[in-house]
Amino acid sequence: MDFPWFVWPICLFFFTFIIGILAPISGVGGGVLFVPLATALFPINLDFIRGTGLIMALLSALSSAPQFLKEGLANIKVMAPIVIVSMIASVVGGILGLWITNNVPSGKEYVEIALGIVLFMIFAVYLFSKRLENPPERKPDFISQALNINGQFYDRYLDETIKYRTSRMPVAIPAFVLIGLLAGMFGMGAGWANVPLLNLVLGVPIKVATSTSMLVISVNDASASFVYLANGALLPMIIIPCILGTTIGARIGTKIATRTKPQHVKYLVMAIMLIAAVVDIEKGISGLKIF
Amino acid sequence: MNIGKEPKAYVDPANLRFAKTMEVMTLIGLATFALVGILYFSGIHDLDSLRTVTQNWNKPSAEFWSVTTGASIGGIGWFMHHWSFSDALCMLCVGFLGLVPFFSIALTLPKALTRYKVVFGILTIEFAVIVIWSLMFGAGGAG
Repeated sequence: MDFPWFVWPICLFFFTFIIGILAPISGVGGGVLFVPLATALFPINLDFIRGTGLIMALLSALSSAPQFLKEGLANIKVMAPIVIVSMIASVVGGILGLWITNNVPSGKEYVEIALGIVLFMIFAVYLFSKRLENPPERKPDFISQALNINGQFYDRYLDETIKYRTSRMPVAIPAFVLIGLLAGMFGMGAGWANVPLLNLVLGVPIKVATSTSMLVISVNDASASFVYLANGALLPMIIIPCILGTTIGARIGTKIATRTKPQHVKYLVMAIMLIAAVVDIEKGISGLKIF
Repeated sequence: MNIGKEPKAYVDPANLRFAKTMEVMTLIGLATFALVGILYFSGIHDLDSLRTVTQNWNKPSAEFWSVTTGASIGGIGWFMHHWSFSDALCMLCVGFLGLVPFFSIALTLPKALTRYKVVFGILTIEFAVIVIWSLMFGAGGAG
């Protein structure tokens, strides 16, 4: 298809604008929607799509984290021991992803198939993971104790100051490494996995988990972005309309979400995600020409 | 529900320093990025013509740059060499935004408790090594 060049940034803008609206309403991360859908719909190489996904997730985290920090919801004490290792993992993920698509024969197809499989995993997490508003306090582990990882925030709805401590950090850290690896490799923010880990394993309240997840994403994605930058996997032609579209869309989506958060929108978005997963796997398999 | 009430919880000064740094630097980065973005889409001084980009963006990154500019990618050199072009300026802005968490961590160091000074110190060095290694030595991957 030989469209004039300017059609593409306009399409990308409207595409990410819709994602921007849907993300806050459904609670499904924008990056998680962008990478598989753009892979399925646009004739753009996966390298550039992943690079853009990473920058979109980074900017979204950079824009929201400061407010969460000021309100005491995001906590750098919780973030610090996690990102010491997950930062390296996301850089390794970025290198691995780019190496496979550029150096392995049919590497792009393998990554597309892997992306589809990861999407099924994300779908399952969204479907089955629970959320604990304020998890009961558990005995802190040695890392949490040594660093005295604790925090407090004022819950306006309960009119109460909520205090918390972390536990089971040694169990959570290896999981964060794996998530960092996937985030770097596929260019997705990793809120879908960070939040349940922070909430259910480390035992921090759900509001702190969603906010601190933004801090973890900002550090992981920022470090991985240098790998994509150094490898030329970032194109202004894609990044600029996508950032603009998501930013404007998210503002509208957030306003809608504060008034209504219909459950069926979440299911609709999850269904779209499933279709994207199937399309990505199908694209990968047909590219391999094994059938 | 008590919307509008002041927060009644203690917020660590290190959290506040981190937030302030992140907020200010993100704002500067985004404003610069917007200006450079306008320059890029005006097509006045682009390294790659806008048409060439869309005709070749289905190629892997290494092949894309080789076909469109003849450049062999890897590290900062390939776009610093063309720094005056708006494409390269956009990439520099992205690099600046990527450094926001680094500066946030580094500038929080003095406000942090002693044990966190060590943790943030390690994080700062780690981040710096990643950036230098990626930009100076190409980081591996596509090239």
